[in-house]
Amino acid sequence: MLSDYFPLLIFLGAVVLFGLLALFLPAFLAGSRQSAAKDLPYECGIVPRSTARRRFSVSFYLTAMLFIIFDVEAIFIYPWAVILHGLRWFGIAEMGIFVAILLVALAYIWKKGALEWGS
Amino acid sequence: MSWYTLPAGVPWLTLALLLPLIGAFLVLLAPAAARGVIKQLGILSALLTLVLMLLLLGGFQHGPGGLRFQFEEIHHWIPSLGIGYHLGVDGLSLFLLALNGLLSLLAMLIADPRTPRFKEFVLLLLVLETATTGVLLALDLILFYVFWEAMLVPLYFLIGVWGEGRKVFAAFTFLIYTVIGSFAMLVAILAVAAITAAQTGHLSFDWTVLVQHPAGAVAQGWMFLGFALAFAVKMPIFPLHSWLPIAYPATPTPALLVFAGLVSKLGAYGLIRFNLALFPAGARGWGPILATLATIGILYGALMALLQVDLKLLVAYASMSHLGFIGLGIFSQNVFGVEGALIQMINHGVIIAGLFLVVFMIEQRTGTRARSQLRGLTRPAPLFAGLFFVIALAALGLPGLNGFVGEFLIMLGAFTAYLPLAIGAGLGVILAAWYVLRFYQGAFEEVPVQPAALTEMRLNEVGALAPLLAIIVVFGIVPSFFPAAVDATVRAVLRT
Amino acid sequence: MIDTSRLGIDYGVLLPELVVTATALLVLVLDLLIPPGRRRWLAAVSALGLLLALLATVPLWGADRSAFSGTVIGDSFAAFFDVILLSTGLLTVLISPRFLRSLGLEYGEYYVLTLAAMAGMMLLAAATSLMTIFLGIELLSIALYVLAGFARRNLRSQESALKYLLLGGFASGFLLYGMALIYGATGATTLHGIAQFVGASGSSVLLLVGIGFLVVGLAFKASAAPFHMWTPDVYQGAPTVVTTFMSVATKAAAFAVIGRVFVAAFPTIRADWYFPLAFVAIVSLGIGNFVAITQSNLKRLLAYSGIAQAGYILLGILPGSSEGLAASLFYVAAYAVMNFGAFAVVTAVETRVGEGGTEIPAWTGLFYRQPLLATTMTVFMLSLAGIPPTVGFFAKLFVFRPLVEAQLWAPLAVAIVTTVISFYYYLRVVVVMLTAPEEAGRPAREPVSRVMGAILVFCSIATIVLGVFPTVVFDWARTAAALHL
Repeated sequence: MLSDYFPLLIFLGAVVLFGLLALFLPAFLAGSRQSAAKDLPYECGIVPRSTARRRFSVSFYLTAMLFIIFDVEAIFIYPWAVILHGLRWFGIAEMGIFVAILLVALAYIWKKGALEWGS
Repeated sequence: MSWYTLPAGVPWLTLALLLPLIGAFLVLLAPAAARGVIKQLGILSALLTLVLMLLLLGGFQHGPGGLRFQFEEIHHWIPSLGIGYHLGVDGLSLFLLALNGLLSLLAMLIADPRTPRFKEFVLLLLVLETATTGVLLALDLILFYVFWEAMLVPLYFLIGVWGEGRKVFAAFTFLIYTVIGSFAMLVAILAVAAITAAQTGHLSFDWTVLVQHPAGAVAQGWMFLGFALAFAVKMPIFPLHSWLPIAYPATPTPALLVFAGLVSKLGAYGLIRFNLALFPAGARGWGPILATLATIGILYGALMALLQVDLKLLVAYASMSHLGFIGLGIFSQNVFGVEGALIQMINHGVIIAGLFLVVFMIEQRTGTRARSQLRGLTRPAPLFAGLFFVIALAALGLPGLNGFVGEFLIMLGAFTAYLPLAIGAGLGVILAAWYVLRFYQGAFEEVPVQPAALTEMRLNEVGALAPLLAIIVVFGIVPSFFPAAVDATVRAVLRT
Repeated sequence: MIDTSRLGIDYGVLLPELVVTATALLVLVLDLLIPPGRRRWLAAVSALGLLLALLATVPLWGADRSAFSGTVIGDSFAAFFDVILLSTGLLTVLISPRFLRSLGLEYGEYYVLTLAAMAGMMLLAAATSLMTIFLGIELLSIALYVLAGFARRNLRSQESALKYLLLGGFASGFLLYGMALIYGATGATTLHGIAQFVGASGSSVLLLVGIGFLVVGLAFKASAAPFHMWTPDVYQGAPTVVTTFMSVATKAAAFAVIGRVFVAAFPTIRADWYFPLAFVAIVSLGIGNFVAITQSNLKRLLAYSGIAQAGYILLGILPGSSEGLAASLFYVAAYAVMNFGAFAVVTAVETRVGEGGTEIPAWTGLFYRQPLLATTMTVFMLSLAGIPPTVGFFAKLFVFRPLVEAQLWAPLAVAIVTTVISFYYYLRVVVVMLTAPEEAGRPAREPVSRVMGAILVFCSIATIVLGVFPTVVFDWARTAAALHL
């Protein structure tokens, strides 16, 4: 029974080994040359002009959360679309309820002002 | 044989349980300021209950042998577990029932309406009476346990709220001791039912069923211990007594009458009803040990009583010493011993209640309970002194008064069962004479007369003591009246 | 064309849950439409929805309707818990408006979240698959995380929410891990499939580790020791109405799962799960009852008391019999009545006194200021301690009995010793209420709101009536405990 998982164990060991190798091997194989520019934060190759510790508007987080919520819900619609032909009206009704609940959520965040920007 | 026959079909015992509760309910409805009305209500319900119990006493059929209960009531309660509402009276509970009614009434009579929160006080006393009545009547073990535990709540509050001194500590000490015992009993109850169920095939907590199916000797020994723990704490039997000198002095006197006079006897009642009847093999094994402990209790209580300065504590230890006699009688496990114990239970209830009443009256008059500060009270209050003297003589077991009969029978029983213990108990009788007479002599006889003189007894106080004195004298003169009623039951319980 | 009739779709089984969910959505919409001053109506709508859901449980009694490919079931067991949960929810909703107003927290979201948590709990009671169990637990947890922090401007409430969230997240992780291992060991996610596999091929290390993790996750939700650390802080910090709801309903729901999983799915390997569960029960009894003694805050005291009560409920599971399970179910019902009552009294006192009202010294002499509150509290304390004639006594009696029959002396002995100890702190509350500094400026009597008064009287009468006539509820519990999968 447990032996079924033996490949999994080998895989796990391989992962750990590879990770360690990738971490420590360069220290032996590659040379190391320090310079000031190498310690700078990397911003797509542009020389940074100010500190990275800036405050963001809380709206970013809100938008991110709302995006995730609706995005994840939308995932359910894909498999449904694939078998919609088989489900017929039953499928339409079920998805109707699902979308209606999503709409209630949308109405809620709209009314609560979560979609307002910069006011 | 009985004096009359009560009409059948009336749930007399349920009525006895309900009467105090109805009184409590009426008290609950009364406005707290109407203290007089509340007291009258309390007295009335206690009186009616007593009358009912005396009716039962008179209507009880003497003579029929075996474990026959009278005024029986059986109803389903929790049928799926074989738990029923089963009430009944037999020789064991008959007289204690009447004592219960009497002491509850006395407690009501001497309750002072000026007590703060008097309404709740009366309410709790009435609830306590229902609980103690239930303990005596219940024949279903779970029902018994419910009443047994329910007794704790009013007592806890009576001590913790209206007590004296370290009252919360006292209430709590008492509670913890008894609850530990109770839970041991609960486990034993569950075990005895389970064992019997394995024999009969269906679960029952009914005493009358369980008594016919004794368990194996080893199991009996354990279950005996479980029950004995609960009852020994309540009595108390040495060495489980250490709550007593804390709790008794803290208890307000009206509650103390019921507490010391009756509740301690319920422990002894339980020992006969359950330990002897349900676990005869267990009783044979444990009997000598418990009888020895009881004898130690007699001597210990008596010696401690000799040492006390506080009169309330003196009576408390005297009570413990007397309960040792009762325990010795029970564990002699012969007809003399058990009947003596039963008689002594009634007598002791009456005598201890009387002694506590006297202490209460002395304290009310002089403001002190210290033995050293009381002397020469006879001259200003001869009636007081006279009545007290009778109670004191009964307490030390003078022939002709009720204390003698019980002690004599117990000694007879003990002599046949355990001779050395009987000798020890005899020593206890001598010590009893010593501490009782010293109490009386010191407080009443000694000269010079105390400056703050004692006022003579008032009529209502005589009234409160009168029924106790009557019982002391009547039981002393015609003791045969009592064994006739209990003999059949005792023989059945002892299987002789 | 797909034959939908073969999917096992049976909305009737989930009707109570669906009604509650629909009510939640309705309240959410209504909250957007009605002016803030009329939010009391939201409580009324929620209460109505819960009542309807209560009606919807009626057809489930005696039924045996497995639905949605064996992931949920409609049976007496689910109905029993639905009734407990819905009643608790209903009473919570009724006592909430006044308390929330006193804290300035009258928001519609409160009711939505409460209803969502209810839906999750009821789903748990009906769940027969590891997946639905996890779904239910997450649904109730997420709603409760927010509710615990509902008093947003109160630091303690924030602390409460954060602690609950972080530790709850851990517990969910354990739970999910355990489920994964059980699936790995048995190849099934439905309890029916698991039971079949275990019955045929016994236990394995993998399965036992999985069960161990499952116990951790569920014990966390039931706030059983040693996974109880969050309980006192969260109970103390959360708004008291939320604590009331949480302490009763979450525990009931967690025990619904524990009961179904251990007695129904793993009866054949009782020898393997007995020890971990007995350990949890014993530690809960010990820690709950001992630590409660030292508490000076009533909410914390009740939190520890709740930990101990979880231990008593677990005792009934230990014998692995339906008799024991019935006892546990009865205990859950009893606990719901008496603990809800106790917390409701705390709510009422806090509504009057403000935040300091949960400290025990503030209760001194309550008998003379608020006789109703104090008297009902006394009943609940006596019942929690297990003194007859209250329902708490029979709850303990019923739980102890199967232990004696199965001769499980060790847990029984611990239960008895700790019960004796518990008398100390339960009765201390009563004594505090009775000891009155009567002469020192007696505050004027303030009446308790009528709804609160009625609910308290109802709960205390129920506590006593069930303590005198426990038969009806006990027989329901026995019906419910006769499980099928």
